[in-house]
Amino acid sequence: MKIKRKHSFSALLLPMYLFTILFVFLPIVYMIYISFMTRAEVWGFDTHVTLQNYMRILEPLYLDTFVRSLKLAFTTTVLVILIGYPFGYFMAKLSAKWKARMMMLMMIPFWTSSLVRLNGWVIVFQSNGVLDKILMGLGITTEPLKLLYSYPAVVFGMIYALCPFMILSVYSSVEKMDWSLLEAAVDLGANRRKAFFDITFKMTMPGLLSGVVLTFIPSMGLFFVADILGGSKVVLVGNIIQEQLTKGRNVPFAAALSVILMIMTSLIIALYRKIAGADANISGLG
Amino acid sequence: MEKAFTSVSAFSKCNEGRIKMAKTVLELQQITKSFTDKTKQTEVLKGIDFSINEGEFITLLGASGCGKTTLLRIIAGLESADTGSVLLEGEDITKKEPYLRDVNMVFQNYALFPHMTVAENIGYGLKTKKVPKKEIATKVQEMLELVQLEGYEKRMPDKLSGGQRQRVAIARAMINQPKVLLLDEPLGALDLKLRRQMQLELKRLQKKLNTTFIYITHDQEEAINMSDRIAVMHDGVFEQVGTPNEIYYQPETSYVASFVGNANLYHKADAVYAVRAESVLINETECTLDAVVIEKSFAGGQLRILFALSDGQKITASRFGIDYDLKVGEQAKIGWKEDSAVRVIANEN
Ligand SMILES: Nc1ncnc2c1ncn2[C@@H]1O[C@H](COP(=O)(O)OP(=O)(O)OP(=O)(O)O)[C@@H](O)[C@H]1O
Ligand SMILES: [Mg+2]
Repeated sequence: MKIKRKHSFSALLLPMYLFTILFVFLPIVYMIYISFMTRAEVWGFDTHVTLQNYMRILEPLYLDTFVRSLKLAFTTTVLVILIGYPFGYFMAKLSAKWKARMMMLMMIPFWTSSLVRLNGWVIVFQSNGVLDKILMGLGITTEPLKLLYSYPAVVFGMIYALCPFMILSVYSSVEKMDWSLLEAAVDLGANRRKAFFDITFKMTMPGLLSGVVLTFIPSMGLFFVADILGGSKVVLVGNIIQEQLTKGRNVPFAAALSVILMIMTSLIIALYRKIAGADANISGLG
Repeated sequence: MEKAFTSVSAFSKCNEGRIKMAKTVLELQQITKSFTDKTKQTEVLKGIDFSINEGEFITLLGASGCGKTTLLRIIAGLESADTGSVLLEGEDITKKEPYLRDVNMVFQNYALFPHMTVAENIGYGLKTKKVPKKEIATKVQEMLELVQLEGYEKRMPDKLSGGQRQRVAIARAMINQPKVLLLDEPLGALDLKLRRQMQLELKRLQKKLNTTFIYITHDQEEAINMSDRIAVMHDGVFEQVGTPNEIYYQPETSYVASFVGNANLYHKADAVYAVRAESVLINETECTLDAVVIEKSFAGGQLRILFALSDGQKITASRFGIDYDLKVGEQAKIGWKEDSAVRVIANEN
């Protein structure tokens, strides 16, 4: 009976399989194929197999970029956890009315393009921009802070762009919490702090982890954040890929960089699966 | 060393005297509690006064929503009373944090921690008290044996049957040797057969560990079988507290009489009498009331015959067996022995 049900489902899923094969699987295969080709004179590639593209990634310039991207992704993720977890947690504990309002506030920014919003931050951060004017007006600082085109500005942009995913992910797992478990822990002698870490935190781990995946992976690839808020000062893997495709006109090298980036993100997802799988009984609750 | 010795001997002395002079463990003094829902305020508890002796098995019986769970939560400290005090062995714990109270609760839905194994669940209370790991492991083993779950220590709660979960929940609370164990309909989710079996096991455990139980149930048979005393809750107070015998045979109010065992309420002049269905006689010498059979039904191994008296009052008689020599619509004389009618205070129609 179970098998029969599975079959009828796979028939329904056929369009989705087709879509995935056409728009996800084939492009990836094609990209991997290109990454082993040679660069053409003007645009595109010559069908001449080489490992040259991958060898080039080992050059310090590119290797450093990977390391820098990983560091930025790591910093961003840690900060997003620190901000997003409490935010999502308290949001889930609000009354239904306030929950709806907060949800609305979180959604409004998504109505405009993220490029537009990031350029808004340029106005805030630039020398003698909104932030400087306010700080200097209040007498907190005396000179422009020169925040724009700096590493902190890029980290800020990443947090701004990615925090909602963490918040929503934590929110939905806190929402599902059975609070009588917390009462049981307190009844068994745990003070509120211990009860939080033993029960709530452990049980909302799946939400936190999926938030981490949703933050860490995009933060390695969000080249436009680094572009807009970091200028040429902060270069990430995403920026190099974009540069090689446009200015560099080196499609095979861009493909090779993308393949490595993809492998890295797949490893992170595999790691996530492993951790989440070990806690299958937790995620199984959801 | 010496001190420990004296306290041990004091303890055994106390145990000897237990039968003669029961020691009060828990005292509730004038507990009140209201809930405000939007604009409406409901007074759930209107002054509960009660004291419980060491090792006693007390059952709270009452209609759904009468405040049984609320009272247990106040004792556990998960809810605070508006006024009144809770005394545990003479100490006022009304304001004490729940995690510092020497009281444990078995929750209605068990509330087992789904991310911990059976052993971790049971040992959690000792872990919070920083008991050494080795000692926890030994005690958990003892507990598992006691609730007959040896070999299940590594299981996760979602891989257990309802009855097993229930036993884990009881073990998890009992391992702490609380002064009072609060049980909120612990057998409510089990099927009848398992429930009967678990009742016996629970009673055995309670006697063995001499723990004081405050027990909530909807099942009157359960209450009558297991309790030393039953407290019938109604309208925010304990309407009657007594042994199962007293509650069943000497109800003080019409509510208690009809709630426990569905006694008939017979009105005569200004007085109300409770008469149990099994005490109603049909066509015997004592029978003086004219009645008509209006319904017959078979339930729970008994035939219930519903009579209408000439003044319109309805009286149910019960008999063992599946039928009785009376048809619906037939006339009969009914009545009861004088001592099987108990005069009660009318507080319900
Ligand atoms: N947190 C709360 N807020 C508002 N009202 C509540 C709250 N908790 C309980 N009540 C109300 O108090 C009353 C008593 O509830 P309680 O859970 O103690 O009943 P109960 O006797 O345990 O019922 P049951 O037998 O159905 O479990 C109910 O009317 C309930 O609606
Ligand atoms: Mg209840």
